[in-house]
Order: sequence, then C-alpha cells, then structure tokens
Amino acid sequence: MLAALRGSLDRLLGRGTAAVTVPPLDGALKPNNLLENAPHAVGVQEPDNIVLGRQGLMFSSGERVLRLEPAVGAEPVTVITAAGPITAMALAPSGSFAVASDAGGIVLFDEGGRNRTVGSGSGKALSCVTAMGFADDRTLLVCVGSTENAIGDWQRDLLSGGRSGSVWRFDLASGEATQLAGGLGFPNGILAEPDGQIVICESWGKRLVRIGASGRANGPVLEDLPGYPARLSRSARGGYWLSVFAPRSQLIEFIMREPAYRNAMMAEVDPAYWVAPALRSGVSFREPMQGGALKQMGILKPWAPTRSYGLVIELDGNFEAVRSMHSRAGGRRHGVTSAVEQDGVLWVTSKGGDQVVALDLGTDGAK
Amino acid sequence: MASSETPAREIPLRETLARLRYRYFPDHLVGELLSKKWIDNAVPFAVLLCVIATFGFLIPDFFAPKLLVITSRQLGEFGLVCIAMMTVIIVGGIDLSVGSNFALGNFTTLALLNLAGWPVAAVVPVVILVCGAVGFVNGVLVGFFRLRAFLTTLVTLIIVRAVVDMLLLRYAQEMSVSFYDSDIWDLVGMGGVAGVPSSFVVLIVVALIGHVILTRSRPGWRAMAIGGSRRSAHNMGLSVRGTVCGSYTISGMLCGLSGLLYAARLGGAGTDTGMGLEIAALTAAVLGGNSLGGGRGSVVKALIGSVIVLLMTNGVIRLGLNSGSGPMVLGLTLLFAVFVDVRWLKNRDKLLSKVYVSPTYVKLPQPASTDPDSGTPFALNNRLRNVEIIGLGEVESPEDVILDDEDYLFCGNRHGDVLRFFPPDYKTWEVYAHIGGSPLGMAFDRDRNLLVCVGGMGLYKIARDRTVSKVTDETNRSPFSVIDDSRLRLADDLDIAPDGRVFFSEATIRYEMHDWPVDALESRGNGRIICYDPRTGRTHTALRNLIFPNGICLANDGQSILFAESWACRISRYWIDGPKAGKVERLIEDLPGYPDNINRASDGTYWVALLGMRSPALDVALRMPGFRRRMARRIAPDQWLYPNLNTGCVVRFDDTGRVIESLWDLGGLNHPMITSMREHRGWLYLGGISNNRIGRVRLENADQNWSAATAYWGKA
Amino acid sequence: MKSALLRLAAVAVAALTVGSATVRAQDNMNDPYREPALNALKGKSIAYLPISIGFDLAQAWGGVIKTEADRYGMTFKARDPNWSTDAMAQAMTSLIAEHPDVIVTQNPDLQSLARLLKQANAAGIRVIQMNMQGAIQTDAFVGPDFISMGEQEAGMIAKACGKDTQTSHKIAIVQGVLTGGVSYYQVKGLLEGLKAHPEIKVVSSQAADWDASKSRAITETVLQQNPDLCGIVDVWDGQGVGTGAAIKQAGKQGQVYFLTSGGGAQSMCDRLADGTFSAAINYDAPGMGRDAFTAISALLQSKQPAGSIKFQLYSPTRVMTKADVKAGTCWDPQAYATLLR
Repeated sequence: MLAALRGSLDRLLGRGTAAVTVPPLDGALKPNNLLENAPHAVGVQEPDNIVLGRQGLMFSSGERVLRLEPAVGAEPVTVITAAGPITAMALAPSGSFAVASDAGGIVLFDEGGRNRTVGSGSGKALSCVTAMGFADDRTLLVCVGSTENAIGDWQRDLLSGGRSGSVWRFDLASGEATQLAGGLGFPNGILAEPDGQIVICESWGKRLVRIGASGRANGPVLEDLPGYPARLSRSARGGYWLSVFAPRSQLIEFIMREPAYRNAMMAEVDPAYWVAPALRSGVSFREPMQGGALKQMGILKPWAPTRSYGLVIELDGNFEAVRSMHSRAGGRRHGVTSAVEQDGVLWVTSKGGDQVVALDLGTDGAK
Repeated sequence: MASSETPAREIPLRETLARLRYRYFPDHLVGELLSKKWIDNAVPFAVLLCVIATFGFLIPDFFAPKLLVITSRQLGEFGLVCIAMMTVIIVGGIDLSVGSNFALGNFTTLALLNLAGWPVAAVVPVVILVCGAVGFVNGVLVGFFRLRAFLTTLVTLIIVRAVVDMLLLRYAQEMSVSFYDSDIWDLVGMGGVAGVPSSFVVLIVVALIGHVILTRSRPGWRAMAIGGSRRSAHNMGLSVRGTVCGSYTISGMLCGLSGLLYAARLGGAGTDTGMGLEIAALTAAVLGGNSLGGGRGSVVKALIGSVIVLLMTNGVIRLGLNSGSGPMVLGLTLLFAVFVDVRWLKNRDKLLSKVYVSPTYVKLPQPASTDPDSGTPFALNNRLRNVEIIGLGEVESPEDVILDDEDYLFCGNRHGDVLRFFPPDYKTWEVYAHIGGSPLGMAFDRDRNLLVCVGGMGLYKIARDRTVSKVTDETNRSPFSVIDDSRLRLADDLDIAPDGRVFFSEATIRYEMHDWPVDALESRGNGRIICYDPRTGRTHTALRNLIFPNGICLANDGQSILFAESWACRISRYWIDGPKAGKVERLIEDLPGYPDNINRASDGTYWVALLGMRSPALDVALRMPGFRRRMARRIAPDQWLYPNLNTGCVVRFDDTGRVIESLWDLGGLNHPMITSMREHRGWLYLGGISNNRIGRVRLENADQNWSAATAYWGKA
Repeated sequence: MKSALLRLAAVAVAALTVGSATVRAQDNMNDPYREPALNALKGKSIAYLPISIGFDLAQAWGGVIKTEADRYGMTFKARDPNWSTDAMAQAMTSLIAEHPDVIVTQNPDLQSLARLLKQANAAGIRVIQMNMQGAIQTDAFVGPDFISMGEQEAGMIAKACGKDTQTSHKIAIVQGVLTGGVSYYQVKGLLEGLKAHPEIKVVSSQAADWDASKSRAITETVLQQNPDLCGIVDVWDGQGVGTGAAIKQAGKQGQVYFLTSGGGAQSMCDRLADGTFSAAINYDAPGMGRDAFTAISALLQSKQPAGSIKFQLYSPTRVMTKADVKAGTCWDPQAYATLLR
C-alpha cells in the first residue's frame, strides 16, 4: 500500500518512477555521422527487410523482393512480386525464403520458384507480421506486432500502449503453428540462437528479450535502449547487428503519461503530424517541432530533438554495444529497419531515407 | 473574410469548464508574487502571525491597547539592539557584545545624569559615542586585524561586562540614591508622541533610515555585497575592512542608544542589565530570516524577529509558566523557523521556476488550408525561390528592414547595431549606429529620424546625424499588476500616426526577450500596445492583455492601426481616431501561422510576415493548459512543443481582411524564416530574426517608385 | 383543666416574648463593624510580584497572603520574573495596566521600579513593598529596619572580633546586589556601627548578587588572601550558604565568626545546627506575610485613596544561635510553595 501511495505521489509530482528520463547516447552509442555520410547507397523506395542468403542479398521494397546486384551502379533486380506490401522476409539455410504480407499471408518460396502459403493452423491468417526467422529448415519463427492495429498504424499502437504482439513457431512440414509468447509490446525482430533460444526485439519495451524454444521467458538481455529496436541479424564476429528505427524522446515519453492529450491528439490530428516517432521527419511544417530543433542562422543542430533518427548498433556475443553508426537530426537516412553484414560491408535499409546504404566495415576497424 | 466558421466538432463540457476556469482564476499571480524580492519575508511573517494568533488566543487581553503601548515601548529598545545585530550579521559577522554594550550605555547615561549632573542634550551624544567606541574597537579587531568575529566579540562581551561591574561596584550606590527628574527625561522614558511611546518612535525613525540606507544607497549595497561574498567584494575593489569596521561601530552606537532609552525607562543600573540580551537579539535576527552567513537580511526582517521574540517572552511571563519555559519555547520556535527558512531558501528558486509558467486555455479557430492544391491564397508555392541574398553571413538576426528615400537599406542585428547597406547593389555596408540590446521594428518619422524598437531597452531614435537618443523606456504602471510593468522588456514593432504619436507593441511583460518560447507556451495575454505622444512627452499603455502583440502598421486611412497577435494567429484593428476611437475589431482570425511584422504595400493593401506555421499537435495542446504546465515542469525546455518557426511566409491582405496572396520558400533553403518584409520601389525586402542574411524579391506588378516614407509623410 | 391550659398559654406567650427578646438581644450582640470590614475586602484583587517565586522568603510571604486572601474572598495572582530586573519591570508595567487593587512587590534595587511604583499609586493601586525598599515610599513597607539591624550586627561582630579578642580583627562583608535594599541599608548600618570599633578592618566588601556560588567564590578568595580572617557578615542567608560552604572547605569553621540574616526558613536552623552559621538574625518571613496582609486589610478598610496614607512596618527580629534551634523553630518553605503553585 505504501508503494501504491508512493506511486501515485510520484505520478502527481512527476518524479521517481514517473520521471521522464531517456538514456543518453554515450559510450559505444556516441553519435557520429557514419551512416549519413557513407558514400555508397542504392536508391529504392522504402526498403524494409534485407536478408543474406545463397542467392546473395535480397530485400523487400513495397510489394517486391529485390536482389542487389554486386556490380557497382547496377540496379536491383526484382525477384518476386507479392500480393500486397511485404511486411517481413526470412531466408532459410536451404535457400528457400519466406515472405509475409497482410494481403497474402506468409508465402514460402523454395529454390525452384515454387511457392506455397503457410497456414496458421487455426484457420486465421496472420497479419501484421513484423519479422521472421528460420530456426532450421523446417521451423519458421514469426513475430506478430499487434492484433489491435494494422502494421501501418504502428504509431497508434505505441501511443495507446499496445501490448498485443506475439511470437509464433511454424512447423513447415506439418503446418502447425504454436504461439510461443504473447502480450508483447510490438515484437519487431527475431533471431534463433544455436542453442535453441530465441532473441526477440520488443520495440515498445525498448529492449531485447530471450525466450526458450518452448516459449519459456528467459528474461531480457538488453534493456533501456535509447530508441525502438527493429530487426536483429548476426555479425561476423559472433555478435549481432541491431537496427533502431526511431529514437526515444522525452516529449514522447511525457505524452505517454498524459492520456487526455494523447486521446485528443489521436482523435483530431492526422497521424502524419502526431507527436510520435516516425521513420522520416522534416517533410511538412505541420509536424510537431520541439524547442531544440529551432534553426538558428539557418543551422539545425545535430543534437536537436527529432522524431526520426538513423541508428544501427553492433552488439557483441553478450549483447553489449560495441559500436554504432548514426544519421543525426536533419539527416536523410533515418528509419533503419534492418541490417546484414556481408564480407566486411554492412548493408543497411533506411526505410525513411529510401536507400539501401553500404557501410564499409573494413575502414571502420572491424574487430 | 472577417472570421472563420466555427468547427463542427462540439466542445465537451470539460473544455468549457477549463475555459472558464482559466479565464477567471488568476493563477499567474502565484508565480508573480513569488518572484518579488519581498516574498522572502513571507516565512517569518507567517511565524509572526502564528505567534500572534496563539498568544491572542491563550491570553485574552494580550492585545489590549494599553498593553500594546507597553509592549511597543519595550520593542523600541529591543528592536534597536536587533537592528544592531542585523547590521553586523549582514556583513557576515556576529556581535556577541551587544548585551554588555547595552549595559555600558545604561550605566553611562545614569552616571552622567545622576553623578555628573549633565543635561540630557549633552548625555545623549556622549553615550552613543562611548558605546560606538566599543563597537569601533570590535570593528578594528574584526575588520582590520581580521580576527574571528565570534571570539573577538565574546572577549569584548566579557571585558565590557567586567568594566561595567567594576564601575557599578564603585558608583552604583552613589547613583542609586539620587533621582534624575526632568520633563524631557520623563518624556523619553515614560511618555511618547501622540500616544506612541518615544522609544518606539525612535525605533521607527532608525528603522526607516536604516532601510533606506541598506536598500537604496551605495554603502548599504556594498555591505550586502561584502556579506554575500567577501572575497568577490574584495576582488571588486570594495573596501571590505572599512565597511566591516563601520558596521560594528554602528552596532555599538545603536546599543548605546538602546541603553539610553532603557535608562530613561527604568533608571536603575544593576549587574544583570543586558544579561542574555545578545542571545535574544541573535534569536530575533535569525527568526526574522537574516542569514547568519551574511549577505541576506533587512531591517524588516530584524523587526519581525524582534516582535516575535518580544511577544513570546512577554506571553510566557503573562501565562505564568515556570521559569525555564520561556527560553524553551523560544528555542523550539527558533528551531522550527530556521528549518522552514532553510528549506525555503533552498527551494524558492526551484519553486519559482516551476510555478511561474502559467499556461492558459486558448482555442484557435481552424486554420486556413495551406495545401498546394487547396486553392486558398495560402496554398504552398515557391515564389520566394529566386530571392536575392544580401549580406549573407555578414548580418546576424536582421529582424526588420527598412529603406529610406535614397534607397539605403537599414536593419538591426543581434549585437545591438543598426546597419546600413549601400544602394544599388547592397554589397557594402557599415554600422550606422550602435544602440545595444536587440533592435527590432523600425520606422521613419516626419523628419526622417529613424525610430527603433530595441528589445530589452525600449524605444530609441537615431537622428539624421546618427546620434542615438532614448525616446521612452517606461510607461504608466498598472495599479493592480504585481509585476512592475512600468519597464519595457520587449518593445517589438512600431508605427507613427499622422499627428506624430508613436504606437508600439510590447510583446510580453512577464518574460524577457530570450524567453519568448515560454510566453508562447503560456499564450496568455501578456502583451500590450503603448503610445508615446511627442507633443507631451508622455507614454501610456493604450491596450492591454494582448497575446504577444507583434507587428504594428498604420492603416491607410490614418485612423487606425493594424496589429498582429502572434500566438493568437490573428490580425486586429485598433481605432486611434475618429468615431470608433479606442475600439478593437478582429480582422483576420484564421491565419495558418504566427503573424509578425505588418507593413504597407504599394497598392493600399498590407504585407504581413508569418514567422512560423501552426502545427495541429500544438493547437491541441493549446486547449490543455494543465498538459502544458506539466510539460514545462517535467521535461527540459529543449524538448518542449514549440511553435514551428523554421518555416515562414509572406502574406498580403487588404483592409477588409481578405487575404490576397502568399509567398513561400519551400524547403527553406534560400530564406528560411521571415519576420518582416518591406516593399520599396518594386522590390520586397525580407528580414528574419534567426537568419544570417536579408533577402529581396522582385514584385513585377507593384508600383516601381513607391516608398513607404514618402507614402506616410510626403516628400522629405 | 382550664387553669392548666391558661397556664400553658401564659408560659407560651412568655416564652415567645423571651424568645423574641433574646432574638433582639442577639441582634444587639451582633458585630456591626464586621460587615463593612468584610465587604471592604471581598472581591478585591491582589497581585504578587516578588523578584522570584523560587526562593523561601517570597514563598512564605506569598503563601501567607494567599491563604488570607482566599479566606476573605479576594483574588490572588502571582507573577514570576525569575530574578530578571527587566522582566520585573515589564511585569510591573503590565500589572499596572491590569489594575489590581493591591500590588505586593519587592524592589530588586533602589531605582528600577521606583517610577513605576509612583505610577501605580497615581493610578490608584495600593502598593506594599516587601523587605527590599525602593527610593519611593508607597502605601506600606514591610520589612526589618535594616540599618539598625546592621548596627546590631556591627556590635555582634565587634564582640567576636573586636579589640578585646585575640584575633586579627579582620572581617569581610559579603553584599547582595549592591543597590538592593536589604544589602544597601544593612551594609550602611554595619559600617556606621563599625565606626565605633576602629580596630576592626573590613578587608573585603564584594557583591554576590544573591547568588550562593558567587558568594562562595568571593569567600574562597578572601580566605586565601586573609587566612587569619576573623569574621564574615553576609547580608542574606540564602547566599550565605555559599559563604559558609567556603569557610567549611577552607577548614576555618569555628575559627571564622559567620554572621548572617534571613527569614528563618528551615535551612537557617539546619545551618545553625551544623555550625555553618555562627549566628543569624531571623526576621520571620511568615510573620512578615501576616504583617503585609494586615497592612492590606487596613488600607482597604480605610477607604482612603491609594498613596494617601504611607507607613513603614518594621518587622521584629531575633538573634538565633545554635542553642535556640528546636523542632518547630523554623518553618518549611515547601508548604508555602505548594500553596502558591
């Protein structure tokens, strides 16, 4: 009861547990302009999920799956066109890959080009699939971001405190689907570990959690991220690459504690102009502006508060941040949704910047 | 278009209640009261009220007029000693010898009167001198020889007490038998002036003089500075030693005066005179809120403290409590008061910064659409794409630009200069005059003197020979305003009526210029329009409670001025002459952005700059003052929702309020933000307060020979 | 039968007559002066302002006056300034404003309250000064004649230390508050009386301010300076305790003739019994209290305005030595203190 009293007093005064704090970008996360200034990039509209397989690098953009041509300057080649906008992709070790879209469900494409729809087992097609990963050739792990909001309404899901995300395991041979975890806050990235455990990026929780193969929660591995995590992939050094698609900000954390304002804003204002993280910003002057973003002498400070940000973090095997590449306030390459490493080059999809960026890790001093 | 359609969305009851509550409940007063300097006395004053209430309740006739007279007579003596203690405490010292000095004064008075037979008029200055000499000794030891005040005055206490005891031993019995009887002496001791006891009158006179000296004279300020930080005062060149010595001397003199009054009242010199007086005076000084560390104190605080101590000691005796209870009660009260005072000191500024911001309910009408395909005159375009840039990187913060008949281009910058660019290409420039502050709006008067509104300073004039003179920097103080609004904080824009009256806007009275975002957060009617009349030289406030009034422009008929209220996103007309003089009419109420300066166009219409654009998220927040207040308190100012001043545009409208056209720079690459525009001979010159450049754009259809100065005043 | 009835009726009538006559005679035997006297006292208020309520003399005076005041239906209130002159002056001024009918007070020194007492009388309040006289005479002063007491003490000390003795003839005087009536007048009388005994030398005459620790310190120093000291006179036995202790500590008890005076509280008998005091003059504080109330009663009944009749009521004294101490000779101040609380 004392804790409840203290909690309500904290909420009233805005301190203690109700204090609005955001972890600073420091240490390995110290801001730089490596992502923004990387010289090589391929311009594509809204690249979303990039994966590395035997065929090479493939990524989704809109309704198409495109393959990056190794030749410099070559345009990406369309491999597959899906029924609707693709929301997630995964590559199996055998070479087949799975593509998820709201319109068509999860479709499995094998080497030969044949496809089949993977059923949900319970008869209901899964929508709002945010990430997929193959545990092995016959097991597909699927993240469903939210059952209350469509994937395009992810801002509404964040602002209304959605926790309806879930993780599913599909047995491709039998077509059975088992739910491994539920009640998650927009799981947005999934990676199966060799020992059977599964690492999930829970976006609205701003953390990475680990669950066992049967779904038993094994606790968080990385908490209190300075942004909302997206997809996770392996790095060549036994670690991971974590994409962060939007930054946290004090103002957004504050309005998460102001239900009256939040509801009025969501009811009256166009979603493009909400006080909410975004994949790109600065497009229209009707977007909300925060104090530090006021230009002086025509200059926008790089550390200005911003609704969008470009950030990809390399974690080591223990999920400790080792280094990071940023695109700061006012930059173009924001909204990083996925990243894969191939031969010393990190390929990053900047969904807000409409580019697939190639970051040369060699000159960066890869460990 | 005079007003917009009200939105179809119905207003919930909660919002109506919020609107009424914020309209009628003056919660900005709390912050304004807390920002006053005298609010520091609030805590001891509250303690005083508590004490009065308690003792008034416990002892029914405690405040009967007769007893008040007696109490005030004692207060006269005790108050003088407390002021003496306060004087020393303020410079960071302490005077423990006040009690012994008081006894010395008492003895000297009686000895001189009874034994030596001197007249009263001779005794008074001698006694004050004698005790002042003791204080001077203290002052020399503490001030010049830098001994520790506590120990030194303790030693003085012992020595002077011993001297008094020895003198008493020798002379007391001789003094006791005789009785000094004189009318003057009786008046001092027993009588008064119009029923007010004479010692109380003396106290009031001394208190007034002391208060004036301490708060409004150089020696007083220096004493406070020395108490506040001795080292810094010394580095500044203040004479620390002399001031400290002086304060101890004054303390001694006041003790002597008090001893004299005591002798007049009681006529007896005993060994216990003044015993424990230093403790009582110290208690009173601290209870009143004087900081023992120095630098913070006032006569009022000393008086409040002495009244509290006196009432408590008297009250305890009247209650007939046991002998020890008096000091016990006093000690407990002191503990409590010090505790409250320390917490108040530590938290006052924090509390003030949290409580001062008082947002209010504002409901803006739906903005006119700016979509490129909306067909409204506000539709986005890129007509400012081909702006010519003047002075790129050389001029910083040209808020307003103006041109004279010879086409010279004037602007202000954030270093307080008024620059002048040379025609015809404006590639060279010079500093025309230096004023200081932030020169903002400008206008030419009939004689082509340049009047400038300088943010932070007031209204200034640059004559044609480039001499700068102040026109006015204060206006009449509103009787009921807690804030001293006679000073001008943010004179923004001005225009001049045909009869020479200068109307200028003061954007906000609650904040300084650099705090404009907080005023935006409040969106309270903190601004006003002020009129300076050169015929009488008087300045008065013409309109009050405007929401950040910004641009001012004399309408073409010369009988009204158009003014912009930035955060209210509207332009209104204020009649200054004619049948409707004094009335205000709304002209445009649904601007999609925040209007800044307004100036005339060549064809009878007007230009207005929108210095920023409305964002819907902020518009929703404007209806929720509680949300904005919590936002102001809980997250850093860097993170607040601001009006978006990164984009602006220029709008042209006419006398009926119909908007004709707008000019934008999409992407803000060339001329990102615009606070002012001036049409001159077919060009539109643009200024922006966050820019490092001036822009100009060609107006093909405008009068190529039109100049504002000529339009207003005719040929020079 | 008829005659028996008649006789009975006659006896009844006679009895009735006698009875009524007796009643009338009782009326005639009633005290016609009692009512006015009681009415003069009833409902009057007495205010008591000693130097402190915390010492034996004040307790005795106050206790006695209060008992009598209660008996006659008068109100009694006490103020305790706790030895502070200033507090006493404050209390006196507020008492004057409250306007009781009588104020019983003590003067801490000759001057301090003098003008205030004058004011009180002018305001119509009767003032009784106890023990310590001020420079002003008010309605009554109750206390021993200290000047003659001093002369008596001079005689006694001359007998102990004078020229017919084999002593150093040196004496010390321990005063109280220098200008307090008890000390001032006693010392005056003492010095007057010693003029007749020029061989006696007063080596020290310090003020102990009624404080036993001060008197002890003074006496210690005096004894160190004058180890052959013959006698000490202390003006009050309340501080004499300290003087006696110093003498005892110096081992000079019996060698130094210690003379003091006081109100006769039990402590005086105890000191006389254990030899701390060689002799003491007892002015019987409860008796002074009775005298004070007598003065009050007389003044109130006289119906004269305040300050119109003024008189000095000198209290009788007696010299006590060890031999005079018996059970019940001295009184217990605690009894009076409880009365006053």
